[in-house]
Amino acid sequence: MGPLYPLGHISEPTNLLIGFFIGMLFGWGLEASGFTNTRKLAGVFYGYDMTVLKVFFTAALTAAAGLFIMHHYGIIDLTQIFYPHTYWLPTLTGGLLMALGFLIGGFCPGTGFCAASTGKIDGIVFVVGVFIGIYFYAFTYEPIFEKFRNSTFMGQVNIADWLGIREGLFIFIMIIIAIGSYIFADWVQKKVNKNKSKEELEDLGL
Amino acid sequence: MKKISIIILSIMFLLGLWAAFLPNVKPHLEKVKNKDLAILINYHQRYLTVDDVAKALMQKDRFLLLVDVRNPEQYKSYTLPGAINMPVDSILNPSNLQILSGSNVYNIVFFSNGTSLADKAWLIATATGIKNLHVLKGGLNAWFNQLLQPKRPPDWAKQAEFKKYEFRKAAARFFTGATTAEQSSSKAPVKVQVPVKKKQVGGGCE
Repeated sequence: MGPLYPLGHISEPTNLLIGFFIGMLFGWGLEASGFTNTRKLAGVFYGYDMTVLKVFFTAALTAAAGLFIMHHYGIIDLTQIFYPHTYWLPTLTGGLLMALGFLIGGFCPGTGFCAASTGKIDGIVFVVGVFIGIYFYAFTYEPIFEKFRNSTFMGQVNIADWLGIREGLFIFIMIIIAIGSYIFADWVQKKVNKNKSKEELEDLGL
Repeated sequence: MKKISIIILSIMFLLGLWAAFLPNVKPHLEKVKNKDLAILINYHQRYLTVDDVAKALMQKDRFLLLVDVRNPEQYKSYTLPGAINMPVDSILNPSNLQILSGSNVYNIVFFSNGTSLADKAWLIATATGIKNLHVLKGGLNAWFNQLLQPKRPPDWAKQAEFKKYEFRKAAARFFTGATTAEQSSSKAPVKVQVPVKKKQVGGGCE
């Protein structure tokens, strides 16, 4: 049955329209759960608020297990889904830079745009920074980044294949790790927040 | 831990357990029937000319993936810019098949010294069910003889031939950084004598 657009079940405008509504829901969800508060995102790094870690880990793994199960019952065809090639060193560098950006700016790109639209000045500044970064990369891509970006090519890597285990088993192992990390995160959060007064905790949005 | 977290984690755990017992997602590589293969072999759409490939390379086409099917030694000594090596006897390796199955997104072009080895690679890969693969007609020989050392068409040739020649000259400069012999022959600048018009005697009714 799915994916709807690559298999030609829906037209491009319909595809964009669906994306638009999902985007609205996503933005609403981010704002409603308080993710446009920079302290919430930065909390992961300081250990006082692990919500972001839990939410995105849960989302990724539920999606992975759900898609995998749906593929098995013919609801969605995973082989039709875009699957990028892996360049491990540039990806690792990008991940580190992104984490640094999270820590300094307190936003991820998604929450940055959400925060900007709610009128938070730090959010607006962050979005301006995002665009400056995009243009800087685009205009310096050829002289500076091209060679590095194309280095350490690994082809299309499926991590389960790479580890030599079955895909379903890999998802299951990741879920066990996630549950373990939630318990650990809760423990860290409790320990960090133990000596904080009630006012301090309220200030952090807890 | 809150009650809702426990419910969500339990659902995730059950999904993971379910996924753990399902088989792998396999790329769609159904075998092509012999009759279909016979039709595909005679389908010359698979051939790309050196001009097509040169144009894509010069335009930095992100979706072009050049695959050198010669052995690694030959690949190391010379290959086309950005090409990956996939010796013809290793095409059926799972990792290589996975790269090639990206042909619905990437324009994958096989090439060798001539056409026939690349054609064999094309046949092996196409027989596994991968569609949309291409072959560089004439291979590296054509690349050198036609593209990098273009011959000036005779004066009575069609304009399209001259356009092609101009493109190939530009491409040769682009790929080798050298100028063609015709242009490097430096001539001493000829001084053009501008005839000085003598002032005519003004007529009566001017």
